[in-house]
Formats: sequence, C-alpha cells, structure tokens
Amino acid sequence: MCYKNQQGVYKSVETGGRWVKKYKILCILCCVLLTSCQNTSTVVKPINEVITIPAVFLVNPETNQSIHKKIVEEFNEAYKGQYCVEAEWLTDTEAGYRNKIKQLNALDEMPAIITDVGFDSDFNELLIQKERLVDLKPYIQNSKEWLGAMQEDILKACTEDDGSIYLSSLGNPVHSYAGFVYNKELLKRAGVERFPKTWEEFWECLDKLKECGITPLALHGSGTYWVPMLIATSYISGTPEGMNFLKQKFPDDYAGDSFKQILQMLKKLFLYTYDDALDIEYAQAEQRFLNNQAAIIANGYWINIQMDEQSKEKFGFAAFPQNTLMVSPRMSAWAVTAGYDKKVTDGAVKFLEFRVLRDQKESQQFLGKQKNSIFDFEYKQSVKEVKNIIPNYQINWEQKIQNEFFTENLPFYIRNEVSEENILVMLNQLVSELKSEK
Amino acid sequence: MNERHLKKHLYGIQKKALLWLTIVISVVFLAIIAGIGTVVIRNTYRSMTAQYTYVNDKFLNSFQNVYEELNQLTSSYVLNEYVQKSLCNKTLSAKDKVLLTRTLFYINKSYMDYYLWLDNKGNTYGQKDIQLDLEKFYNSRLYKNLGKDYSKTKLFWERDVLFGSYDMALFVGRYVHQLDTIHEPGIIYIKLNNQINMKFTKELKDNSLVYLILDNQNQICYEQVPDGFQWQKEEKNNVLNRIILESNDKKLNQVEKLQYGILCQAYDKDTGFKIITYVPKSITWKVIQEILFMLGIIFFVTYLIGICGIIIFSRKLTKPIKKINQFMIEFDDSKLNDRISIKTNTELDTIGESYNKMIEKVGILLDDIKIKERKLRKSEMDLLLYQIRPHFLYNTLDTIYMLARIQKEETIMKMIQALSKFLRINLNNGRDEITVSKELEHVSAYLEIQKIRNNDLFEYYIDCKENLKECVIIKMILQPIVENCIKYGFQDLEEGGEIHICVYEDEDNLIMSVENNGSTMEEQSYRLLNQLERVPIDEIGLVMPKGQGGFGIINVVKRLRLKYNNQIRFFYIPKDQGTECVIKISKVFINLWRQGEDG
Repeated sequence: MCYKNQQGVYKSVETGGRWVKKYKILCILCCVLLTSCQNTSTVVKPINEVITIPAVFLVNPETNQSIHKKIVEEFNEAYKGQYCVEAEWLTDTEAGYRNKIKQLNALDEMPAIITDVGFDSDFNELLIQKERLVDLKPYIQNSKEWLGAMQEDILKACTEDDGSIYLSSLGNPVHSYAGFVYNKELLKRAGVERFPKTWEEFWECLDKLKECGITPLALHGSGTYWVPMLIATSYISGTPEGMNFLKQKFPDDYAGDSFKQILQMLKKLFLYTYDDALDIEYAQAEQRFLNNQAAIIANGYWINIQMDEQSKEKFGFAAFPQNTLMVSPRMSAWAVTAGYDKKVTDGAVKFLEFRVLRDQKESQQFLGKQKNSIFDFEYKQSVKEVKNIIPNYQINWEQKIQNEFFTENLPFYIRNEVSEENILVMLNQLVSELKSEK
Repeated sequence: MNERHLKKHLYGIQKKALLWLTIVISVVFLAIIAGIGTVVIRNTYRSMTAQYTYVNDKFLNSFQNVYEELNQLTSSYVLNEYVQKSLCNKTLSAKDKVLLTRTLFYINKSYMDYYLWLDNKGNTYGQKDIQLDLEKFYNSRLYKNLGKDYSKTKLFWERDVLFGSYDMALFVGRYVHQLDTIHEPGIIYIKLNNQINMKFTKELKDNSLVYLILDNQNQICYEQVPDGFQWQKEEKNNVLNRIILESNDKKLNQVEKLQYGILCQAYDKDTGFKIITYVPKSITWKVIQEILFMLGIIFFVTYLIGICGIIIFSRKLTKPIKKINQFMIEFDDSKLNDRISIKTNTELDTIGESYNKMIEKVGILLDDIKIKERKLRKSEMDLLLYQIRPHFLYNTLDTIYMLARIQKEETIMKMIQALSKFLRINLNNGRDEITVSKELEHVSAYLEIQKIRNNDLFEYYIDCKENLKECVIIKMILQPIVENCIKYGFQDLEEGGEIHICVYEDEDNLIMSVENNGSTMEEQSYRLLNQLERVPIDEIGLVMPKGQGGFGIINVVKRLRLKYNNQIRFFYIPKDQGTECVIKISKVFINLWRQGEDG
C-alpha cells in the first residue's frame, strides 16, 4: 500500500496541521485583543447615607465652651452611621442667640434643632402660627420611653391649647432649679457660717462680705439683667401680689408695687457688686464668681458644668430666702423646625428624645448618688426642702422689654439718673405699643 | 495569474516569510485598530460626557452662586431695620419712610433693573412710583410664583407687568416676615437685567457649547449658542423633550447621548430651574475624528515600520540561505576546492560548515572513485588478458607436466600440478567468491609450491569443519596471510616450521585462523595490523608506514570490510612461539549469501 500514498496522506495532513496552527495563533491573538479591549465593570456598593441634622448651639463667650457639646457628641456616637448632628457653634449671649434664631426664621434658614424657644412667648407663638415648628406629639406618644420620661405637669405645660406639643422640655426639673450659688470660703472669711435664710440675714451677709473687702454679688447690666432680675423677682414672690405679678403673662401694667419693688431691689443689689457691673455681660459675671471675685450669684444648677470637682466642694447652693426656687418647664424647651426632609426631621426628633432620656438617666443617677459634692448635696437638699416655686419672669415678660428696654434704661435708673416714675412711664408706654402691634 | 505563476512569483523563503508576516501583522493591526478604535470611541464619549458633566456642574455652580448672591441680596432686605419696621402695625413716620427709601436705594447692583418693596399694608417703595392694583396683583403669576414657602428667595421668568415694560425678564421675589411678632409678610421684587446672564457663564471658557437655563415651567430664560451654530431640524425639540421635570436630588446632574449630541442637564432644587449644557454632534465628532486620525497615523507609521522591519529582517535572515542556494546551484567539478563562508551566529553557520565538509568528502570520494575506476579498468583489461591466456597457460603446464612425468621428475610434477591448481582457483573464471574448500585448496597449492621452493622448511596442516566447506567467501584471503607467515615468521628458521590453518565457527561467526610457530610478530607490527579493522576505510592505506610492507594484508582486510560491511574481525595474536592471525566473518552475510545463492 503504498508507502507513497501513505506518505502523500501524511504530507497533506501535515500541511493542514500547519494551517490549523496558524489559525490558532491568529484566533488567540484576536481573543487577547478583544479581551484587552473589554471594559471591566465595577459594581458600586450602595453606601448607607448618614442623615445630617443641622443645629445651632450657643457657646459661652467667656469660656469658649458650650454646655451642649457633650450631648451632641454622645448622640453622634450613639447614632453613628445613621444620624449626625452638625452643629453651628455660635459664640454669643443668650439674647444674641435668640435674635439669631429669629433672623434665621425670617430668612427661612432655621436649623432643624433650636433651643431657648420657650423664653420668647411671642416668637414662640409666631413659630406655631406660621407652622414653623414640628408637632412632637405623635412622636412622643409613639415612644413609650419618651412619654414615660416626661413628668405629667411638664408635658402639660408644654402642650398648646389645641393639644399640639411643639416644645420639648426635659422630662423632669431635677437639673432646672435656680437659686443662690455661693462661695463658702468667701462667706466663711466674712464670718458667715450658714447661708442666709431670710432677706434680713441676706442683707447682713452682704454687708459683712463688703466689710471684709469681698464683692458680695456677681451681677451684670449688659444683656437682659438676668441675674439681678432673678434675685429681685424671687424677692417679690414673697408676697401674694408679687407672686401674681410674676405669674401674669405679658403684664399690661408695670407701674404697680411689685415692679416698683423689683426696681428698688435692683438699685439696692447693685450697691453690693463691682463698679463696672452695669457694663458687663452675664458670662463675665459668672466667670468672676467662679474665679472667686464675688461671693454670691443667682443661678441654676447648670452652672456646675463650669465647675471642676474641686470647685464643687468650694461652692454651695441655697434656695432664695423664704425657701424659694425658680423653675419653669419651658425654660429647657427645645424644638424641631418644619420644612426639612422627613428623614432629617425624624433625626432631629430622635435627638430631642435622646436628650430627654439622657437627662432622665442622669437625673436618676444624680438623685441616687450617695457620695455627693457639697454643691450637689446642698442643691439636692434645697430641691428637697423647697416650699415656694416661682415662675421664670423671662417666659412671661415681653422680650423687647427684657432685651432692649432694660439694657437701654435701667443703667440710668440704677445710677439715679432717671427716676423710678419715669422708668415706669416709659415702660408702660412700650407695653402699650407692643400691645397695639399684636 | 494561475497557480503556477503565483508559485513562481512567490518562490523563496524571504517572499514567503514576507507574505505571511505581512498577512499576520495586517490582521493583527486591523484587529488592534478595530478593538482600540471601538474602545477609543467609547472612552472618548465617556471622557467627553465626564468633561461636559463637569462643565455643566460648573454651569450649575455658577447659577447657584448667582442664586446665592441674589439670596444674600434679598436677605439684606429681609433684615433691614426699616423694612422690618414697615411690617409693624404702626405706620412709618415720614422720617422712617425717607430712611427706608434711601436704604433700599443704596442696596443696588449692576444687574438690578428695578426693585419694588411691597409692605403688608399695600404700600410700595421703589425707583418707580408704582400704583398696584392689589387684587390684580394677587392674581398675577408674579405673585403666584412666590408659592407657599415661608421666605425662600424665588427666581422666575415672567412678563414684566409690574414695572410696565411687558418684556420677559428674570425676577427675584421673596416674602419678608416680621422678626418678632406675627404679621402678614411683605414682598420684595427685583427685576434683573441682562448683566446677570454674564454671571451665569462667566466661569465657562468653552464657547463651542450650547448653554441653556430653563425655568420651572421649562421656558428658556437663558440661551447661549456658539458662533455660527444653527439648531438642526427637530434637534432643539429633541433636547427639550429630554428635560427632567422634577427631582428631589439637590444637585442632580444627568448626562445622555442623543441623536444630535450630548445633553448634560442639572436640576436646581432651590429654584426648580434646569441648567443645560448641550454638546452638538459636530463637536463630539470633531474630537473623535481628531483622535482617530492621530491613532490612524500612529498605526500606519507603526505598520510601515513593521513591514520595513520584516523586509530587512527576512532579507538578513535569508541572505545566507540564498548564498548557500546560489553556491549549490553553481557547484560543479571545477569548484570542489571552493568553500562557503557564513557567519551569522545561527544554525546556518553549521549548515555552511557541514556543506563545506560535504564538498570536501565529495572531493575525496570523487578521487577515490577515479582511482577505483582506473583500477577497475585495469582489472577488466587484466581479466580479458587472463581470459585469453588460461588455455594456453594450462596447455603449456600440462605439456611440462607430461615431460616431467616422462623424465620421472617427481618434484617438477608436483610443483606443476600445484601451480596449475593455484592459477585455476586464482582466476576462478573471473569470479570473486569461492567456497571455503576451494579457498583451502588454493592456499594448499600455494603452500605446496612454497614448500618445494623453501626445501621443506615447514609443514602445513589444514583443519576445516565439514559443514563449513561449502560456505562461500571472497577468494584469496588466506594466501597473503600464509605468505607473510613464510616471509616473516620463518625468516630465522632452517627447518621445522609449522603452519596450522583452521576453519571453524562460533555462534555468530565463521572463523579462520592461521598460526605459525616461527618468530613472534613484533609488538609495534601487530598493534598496527590490529588497527586495520577499526580505522576508516579511506584511511586504511595510511596505517602501515611506508617501506614496511603489509599491503597484502591491508588488501585482505579492505576487501573483507567492503564485502561484509565492516562486520568482520581481523587481528593478530602473538604467541610464545609464533603468531596467530584470526579472521571472523559474521554468519549473517555468509548465510544470506548462501540463501541468495540457493535461491
């Protein structure tokens, strides 16, 4: 058979194999090229969106610190990856802060969370009327924890006539009382072993301090006269007329005995403070007290945030004479503004709930704490033994009176440059103007 | 061109290599160009979309910056002390009115055409003394465009019914609320002039694109087209049909490829305006064409370089092959001494060297063949002579034998008889092969003659196995060996010499041995003779030094090796007394031959 034939077949097969090899190489080359030309597709994993909640908080211009910084940090940590409160830290006075919020409202640029809303009833009313705040009632009712943390009277105080709740106060007033905070060492140096319990003792105490060369009171004139006004209002609360005057919302007449007593009290108080008291802001007065430059200041428990542990042993807390403390649920009220995306609103509401629950936890710890500093111990005792609670005048009086009239006119009165009658006339004139605006 | 012509045309390694490499490179280049071209077009589109998305983003940013500036502007109205005062219930004093008007006047910008402050009591303040029909105003689109937002700065594209020009213009409007207490809001309006348009595209450098701004009703309120640009039929509608109506995404930026070009659009949530950058197809194709053109040039140049490289490489590679080829074509007898010189540091060098060796061997072989031919011719002549002479020679020898017999000369008779036998076997009718018995008979005749000549110097003994006698071997193997025995082995003997010839076999060979008891062969001699079976057959004549004889032996060994394809052994064994010569022939040849003979 042909070897030749076999050879021929073999030869042709070999030739075919050579072609197959060539085509193989070409095919591989094309495949490589086409493969290299292909694009690699990347799968983008969805990223969980962190909801940013804008807020504006006040920073003490003296200490450059904010009492709200800690809660913001804790909230952001607790809701990491879900919510983030992005705060604008505003270094200003309380009045400055409240004015800023008003401006932001007028510009429709309010942050989602605002504080100090309860202090200005008119503005509060404006916000509610113009639907600028979120009704928190459904949220509170849907959260058993939140509802459970709220004392009934506080919830009631924050509920509007139509049943809506726009203001979120702390659930209990444990940390919200205001009275006298005093420097034990300075009082001791003046020979005062026990904080005065009556107004007579109080004046005696101030005299003794003054005789020892110690500035008895830390007061301020610039701003809202909050500290001296706190003492003066507590003074008039001792009488039924005075108490009624304090309970009035937007009094029509300031020329009555009660406000006269307040004015007289103010004049007297400013005899026991430093010379430049009329020119300084609240934050400066507070700082001077904490720096041992004055013996007594009227203030709330919240001043303890400015104290270190050592100072808490040095400072004491006492009720105003006649066993009186000032507290008003709306003082601690914060609110959520309308107009934001639902996710942001939900986050802002969550923050308010977090605040209430956090305060509840801290209040329980505070009340159950066995080993207390002197300041905490005396605060607790004062709260425990308090007989008279007075409302915060700031909530019931016109903001224009507090923020503008007092600042503009009281210095003249205190310096005896304007008579009491004139002040009262001017004040009532302003009141009637404000009424007409409404 | 038929196949034969094509084959002729494509003859040669270089042409084939050139053809195939060109085909392969062309295919590869085409594939690369197709692949890269596709990728380039796709990536160019992607890059362009990214680039124009960025441009549109800048456009959007510019728009938003303008909006922010307008927002700041209206904010200054909102927070203005006298504006705030004018919102209170108390009517403004004349002094406050003057101050308000002055304040508003000072808030002036180049892009502001007119402004109007409408307080909550219906009072208007502005450059123009405008008496508004409030009922009509509250039903106008200018008012309705303010929407339900509390105090957002609103931007809208409307007919100017406010300031009486009735042209379409951009307006800014904003509700102004009292800061502290509840009052109805006032409204600030600003009519913007064309200078605001410059701000929109101030940051944009590319004038070859179409920029559009559409209001929330999708009305075009700003349009910038490149010089000489004309919308294609349906092109503009095609673009406007693709506009997003609304989005919750604050900075939605979308891009899509349309029939006529690339459309980038962004939706500004604050105003509801749409910011559009449109890239006409002429621009996109121009970019792609430029890239493809550059790519084409690069590939073409690379292709040419590749082809040139292939030509140069194949030429270099095939040059020595061609040289060898030419050398071979031109080779003839006259060029046996020519040598090819190739130095390429490749396998071709070895081919060249091998070729040179081959030529050298061919030369030797040709010489050899010439000598052999000459010998063959001589042999043929001799054979012819032998064929003429034998009868005369045999008749003459028979006559001498008869005369010797008559005269009773026994020795002569014996000698004539041996010589006659020797010559008969020697001639063997011209055949080269004889049987073992004939070979033994031949050597025996030779020994008889020598014995008479040397006066009974020796005796000889022949021993052969019966079965081997008929084996055929080449003739005259033993005679030269025996001659050497007498010539050199017995040169020192006077008498008593013995020669023993044995023919026997082992498993593989036919063995013949010739042993004498004479002088032992010198070591140098037998060492040289023992090389004969190993050395190349061409060099066999060079083994024995000149003048030392041994040519008979060399002739025997050479014939044996040629006949039996080197499958023989030939060696000398020195003994205490004498020397033994052994010849071994592979039975394979003996048997095959016998079979052939039998067949």
